[in-house]
Amino acid sequence: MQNNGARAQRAGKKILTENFYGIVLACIPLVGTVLFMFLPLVFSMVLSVSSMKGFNPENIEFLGVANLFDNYKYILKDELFWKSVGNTFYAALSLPISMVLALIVSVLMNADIKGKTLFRTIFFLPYVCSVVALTSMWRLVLDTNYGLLNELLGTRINWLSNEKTYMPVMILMGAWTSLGFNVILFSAALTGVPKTYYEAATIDGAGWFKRFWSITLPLISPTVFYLLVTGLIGAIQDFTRFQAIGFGTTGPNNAGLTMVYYLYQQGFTNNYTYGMGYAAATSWIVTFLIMVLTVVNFKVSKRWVYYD
Amino acid sequence: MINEAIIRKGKRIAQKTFIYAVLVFVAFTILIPFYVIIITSLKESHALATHIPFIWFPKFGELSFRAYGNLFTSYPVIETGKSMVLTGIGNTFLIVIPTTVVGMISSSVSAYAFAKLRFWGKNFFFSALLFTMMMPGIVMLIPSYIIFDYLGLTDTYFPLMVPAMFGSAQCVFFLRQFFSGIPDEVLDAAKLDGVGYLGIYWRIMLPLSLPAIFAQAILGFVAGYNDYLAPLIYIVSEKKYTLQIALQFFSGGNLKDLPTVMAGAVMAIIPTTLIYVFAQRYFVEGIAITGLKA
Repeated sequence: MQNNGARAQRAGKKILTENFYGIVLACIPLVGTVLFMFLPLVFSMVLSVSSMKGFNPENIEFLGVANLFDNYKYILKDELFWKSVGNTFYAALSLPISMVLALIVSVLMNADIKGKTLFRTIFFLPYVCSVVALTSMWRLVLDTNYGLLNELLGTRINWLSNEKTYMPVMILMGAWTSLGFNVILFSAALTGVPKTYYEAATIDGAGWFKRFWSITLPLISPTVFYLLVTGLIGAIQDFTRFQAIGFGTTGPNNAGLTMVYYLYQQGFTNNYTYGMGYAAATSWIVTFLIMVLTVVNFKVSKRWVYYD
Repeated sequence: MINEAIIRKGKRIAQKTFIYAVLVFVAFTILIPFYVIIITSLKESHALATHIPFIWFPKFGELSFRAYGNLFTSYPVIETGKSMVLTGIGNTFLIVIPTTVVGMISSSVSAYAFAKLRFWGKNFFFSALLFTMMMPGIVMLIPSYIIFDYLGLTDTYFPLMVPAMFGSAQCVFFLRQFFSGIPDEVLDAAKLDGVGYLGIYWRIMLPLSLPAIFAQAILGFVAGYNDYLAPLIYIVSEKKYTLQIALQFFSGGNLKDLPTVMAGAVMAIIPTTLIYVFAQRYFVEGIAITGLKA
């Protein structure tokens, strides 16, 4: 009996130690989350229903219950905000372009060819480069006199100074940069499609398009969906390359002002005219948009994504 | 019959030629901008070089490293008189290396606990961690800045280092998958030998998962090296600029001198590209796994 009690005690102590280590070790990242994410998040909520000019939080003033959503109302009436929404979704066109190209490239790479690793390495190269390097590079590619694009087209267009040409070239740059990432994920998904499926379909007389449409696409649809969701979430937050390529300007007639750029300007460039309350409210609108898109995506995906 | 075989073979060759043609074309489309910045950086550097003609293959004698010299000598930091780009390189390593190392330790001990230990609230804590992965970072931009500014921590490396030292949810998620694959029998044997929980992490989990940890550390290093927005917002003094901020500042001031600006871009790319080319397997695995399972 005594022996049993001692054993139980020892077992109890062991469970306690395991609990102690488990909680302490597991929660290190969560402590960071609480300090650097949860607190700012709560502050941001308060800020979005307050008025505050400049950076000093001692100047914060609650808008009052009657005017609780004034910041939100102001932004939703601001033409510049809606322009930034339009620009953001226009810029997001690089996502479908990049995905379609990446799918074509990945399907071709899935054939029995040599040099796959080399191709993959090259395609992914832009992804490891900093935004500063990439924008320097593209400023040169798009240069009026010296640029590669004008050289190839035989034109002398100042792409980044014209409101009409600004976004198309930024879309091109976006697709060029993100191609490799999509290729890696599509390639991983394609290697998971059993070769026997194709063989069976070929025996049944299915052409390559039929095989692609009824075998490949359904089987890789989870990846298509994943890339669409994460790509869209990324596209809504697209901002640094626009800031860097124009050294803090927003492009001709604000053609490069994306939603996050708009919020950045409110917070850091024009914080005395706009105020931090507006900036915080804008960031919640952007967040809300991201969440809605994510939920809609998940709902819609149930109809066409094939999970086995 | 013979004809048919020849036709089929011819078809296959045509098919492969087409595949290679497309892939080579795309590869060139990706590579040519890199080539263009490299040859431009090797041109004679002049203060007003915006109108130098575009040349695909300059003669060897026409190449010069003057732009690189310019990059390291012109634009010194006012307070110290030292080259801004060199200062930036030093600062970047000073920030990124300790942050990556400490961040990896935090992430990996957490992943170890989630993978191998039993404790109260495990599922709750894990869900909380997953939730933070879904929160867009942009909401935190303004309030974090105000808080750091209020605490007097802007223009210090605190906001660039300390939050990342707690580890990242993505990294925990990735390593937990990896740790779960290590058989429990190995751990039980160690427990019987009287090895404690930290000992198991240090002597078994860590050595067995070095490739996975290395992969995540590389991704973390590259992300830190390339980071632009955080140092742009938080760092004010020139002597504290990171490489990316120094280069951006430098490009803005030297727009007329294309070779020097491009030398800067090449400088920004070289370390990450080298790391990537040598460790590309880790990149691809890291992305394919976190990408698909997140």
